[in-house]
Amino acid sequence: MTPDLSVNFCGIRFPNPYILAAAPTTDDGEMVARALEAGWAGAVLKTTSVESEPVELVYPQMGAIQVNGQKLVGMVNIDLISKRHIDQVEKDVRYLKKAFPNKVIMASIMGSRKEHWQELVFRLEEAGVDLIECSFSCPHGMPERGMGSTIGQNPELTERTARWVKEAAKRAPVMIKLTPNVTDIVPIAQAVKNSGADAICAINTVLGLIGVDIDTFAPIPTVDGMGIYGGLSGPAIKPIALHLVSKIARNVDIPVSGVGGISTWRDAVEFMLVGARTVQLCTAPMHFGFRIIDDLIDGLANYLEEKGFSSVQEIIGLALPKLTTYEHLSRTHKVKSQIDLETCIKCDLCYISCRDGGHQAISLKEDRTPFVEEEKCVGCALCPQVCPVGAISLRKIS
Amino acid sequence: MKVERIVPRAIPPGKRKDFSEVLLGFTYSEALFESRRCLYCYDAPCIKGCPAGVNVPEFIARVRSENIVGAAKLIYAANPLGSICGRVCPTEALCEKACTSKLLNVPIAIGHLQRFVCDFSLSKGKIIFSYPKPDKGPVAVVGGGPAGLSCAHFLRLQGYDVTLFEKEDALGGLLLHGIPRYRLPEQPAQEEIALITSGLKRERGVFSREQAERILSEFQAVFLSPGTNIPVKLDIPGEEEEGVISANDLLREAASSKAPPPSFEGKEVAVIGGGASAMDAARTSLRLGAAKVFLLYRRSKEEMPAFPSEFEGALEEGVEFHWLVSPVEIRRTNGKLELKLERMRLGVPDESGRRSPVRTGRYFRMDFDLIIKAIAALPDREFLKIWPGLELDRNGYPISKDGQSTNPQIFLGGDILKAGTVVQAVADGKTAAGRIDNWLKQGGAR
Repeated sequence: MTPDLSVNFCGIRFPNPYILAAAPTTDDGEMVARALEAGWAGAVLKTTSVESEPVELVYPQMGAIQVNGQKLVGMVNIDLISKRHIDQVEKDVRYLKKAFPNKVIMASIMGSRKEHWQELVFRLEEAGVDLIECSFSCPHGMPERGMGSTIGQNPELTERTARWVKEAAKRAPVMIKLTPNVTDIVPIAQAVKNSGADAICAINTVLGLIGVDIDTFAPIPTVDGMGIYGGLSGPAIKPIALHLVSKIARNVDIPVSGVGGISTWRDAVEFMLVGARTVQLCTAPMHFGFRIIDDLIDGLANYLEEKGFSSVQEIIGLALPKLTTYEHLSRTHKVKSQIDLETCIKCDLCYISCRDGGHQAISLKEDRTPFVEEEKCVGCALCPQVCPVGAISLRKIS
Repeated sequence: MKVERIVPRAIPPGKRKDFSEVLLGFTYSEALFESRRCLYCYDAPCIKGCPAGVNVPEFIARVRSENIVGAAKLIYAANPLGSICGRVCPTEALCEKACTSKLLNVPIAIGHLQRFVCDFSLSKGKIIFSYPKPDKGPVAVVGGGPAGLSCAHFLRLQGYDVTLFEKEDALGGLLLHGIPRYRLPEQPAQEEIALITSGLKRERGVFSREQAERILSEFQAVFLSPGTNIPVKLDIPGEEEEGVISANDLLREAASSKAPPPSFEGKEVAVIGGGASAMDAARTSLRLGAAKVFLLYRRSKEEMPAFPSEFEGALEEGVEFHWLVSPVEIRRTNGKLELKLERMRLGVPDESGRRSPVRTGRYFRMDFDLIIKAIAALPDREFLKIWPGLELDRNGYPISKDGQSTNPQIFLGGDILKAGTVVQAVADGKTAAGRIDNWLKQGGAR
């Protein structure tokens, strides 16, 4: 039986959990239409504002780190909210709702005062939007004007602003997008809950400096010789996002849309296991295009089928009970590395990493075959991480 | 025999009409891409696979970090002919044969990476060898091929006063007149040779016993690397007919920049042999305009001493291979050379470990315009005999113990020690430089 990939989020049925996050990929109705046709369940249109809000962009906007040839392991942008104000976005909403009645059309908004927030809500509801996302989280540019993450870093501002929005929204659920650039996200998430808002989206980008040009000494991206801190996205931030999504899910009773470094169905499964009900992607479709939805859907369906789940909703939060504190971790659990010599290619990276980064517990035979010295191996699990062929596993010691 | 490996862009076989280099080498981004496949093995087997001991994983790590000049310095510390060897090394039988990545998919293209690194750094003018002011020696190096150049280089690095004796005007030996230009263009070869011979004292070749004795009395030690340049005869009737030439002579003529290369326009050519110089002679003949080139070898494909890359090059360029045939007689008839051949079959392995050719008594004839002998080359006995105390084995090779001849003052290297490859010659020269230093420190001839 084909598993049911649809999810219920704030009373809205999503045909699958995959949403395009508010980003350049959703800054145009025709682009979003192509994505929805390709199979995405919905899209959050790029954050918009009232017509009087000036949005002056700078270029270039992107910078990225590559690791041993793998591009966009992390990407920084210094883009802002959309140049397209609410008058254009409400047109997109009308067009998309008409063209894709079964898909979920969401819009992201940002305002500088109560009237703006509420006008945006009013006009989007008029246009027929399914859900309103509020950016309390843009880490660059907007905070200099008291917007974006300035709000999301302060529980009081968060609660007050969320209330304004919730107050104005008569029909559409309200979701607040939070910033990871905080010491503790729980009070912020709790403030969202207290405001009466319906859901949380976490996380926005992580404040970062993606690099410095070692020839010109200028920060990257470089705008006429100068640079700023930007918003880091991509696979590099997935562990940060997983941490924060799980933390919100464990501490606050509110639906979470997970975002941050998701590129494959495996990533999506992990986010759902730690409590996300839907997932949002941005950097991966910016890198490879909307077509990645095919494998996102197929891989997820195959996984669910293999694991015997009939609905994707069954996996939401399954990992949460397994998160604990250091104090509660077992002190009697012992493991040791074991090397499968059938798979081993004798590159001996395990040897060098254990020698210089571990416990000198791997030795080499004359022919360079590595072997574990059981009495020295503490089971730290460094060697399986470095083995290029997956020849090393951990064996439980009874 | 098909070898799976990464090969950079090349001139397509159908377009190889002249002596332009066939393999175009990696671009900067291709080199980076390839470097990222390297596993960076600990105590990597590729290092042991390299006769010159180039620290392969370390130089590739430097390519990955885009420290290309740093990578080149590492290569040049082990092998002063890095660009040359990056081109002509039979890497499939050396470093790449040992490469761990072979177990995952295909070995890292170490040779092409080395070539890229060296060419890049040479083009930036970043490779300079500085030799200390000599305070040891003097030592004589006789023979300016790769072994001699390498030995002179490493001796000078250790502070030795070195004089190189070479009969040719140009240095480099077989690098310049043995290896065809389509495998090793003149420019990188000349550039590397110039770098390691700048400031090197030179004298003419050695021809007489008197000269040899004078050298032995004036120099504390001698490194002898004259190469093997006497082509082995077919030893069959008709061998002296016009149109029967040696591969050595052909390759030298084709590589000479002094005279225009000979034309083989419209000619049908037979090349007899199965080693590197047979492949080179066959591919050179095609480039000289030959209508058809046949390679005749007395054993089968598996026993050919040529390396797979050389064989594949000849095959894809259209050389026609005839296995298990042995020349018996050459006759000139109607302006053609009629070659009588005997069909052979494979017998039991000989001392080389390869199955030996066995006569069948069945003969046939083929007509050619030219016949090129490329079966082997042996040392020049007449030259070796001028050196006092130098004993030779039955094939004319000097008897050696760890590279030292029966005259302890004379050290050996290169093809005279059966090096067979440029990189082994370089390694011989380097090893000998160390041995000469040790021997002299222990008192030398005194």
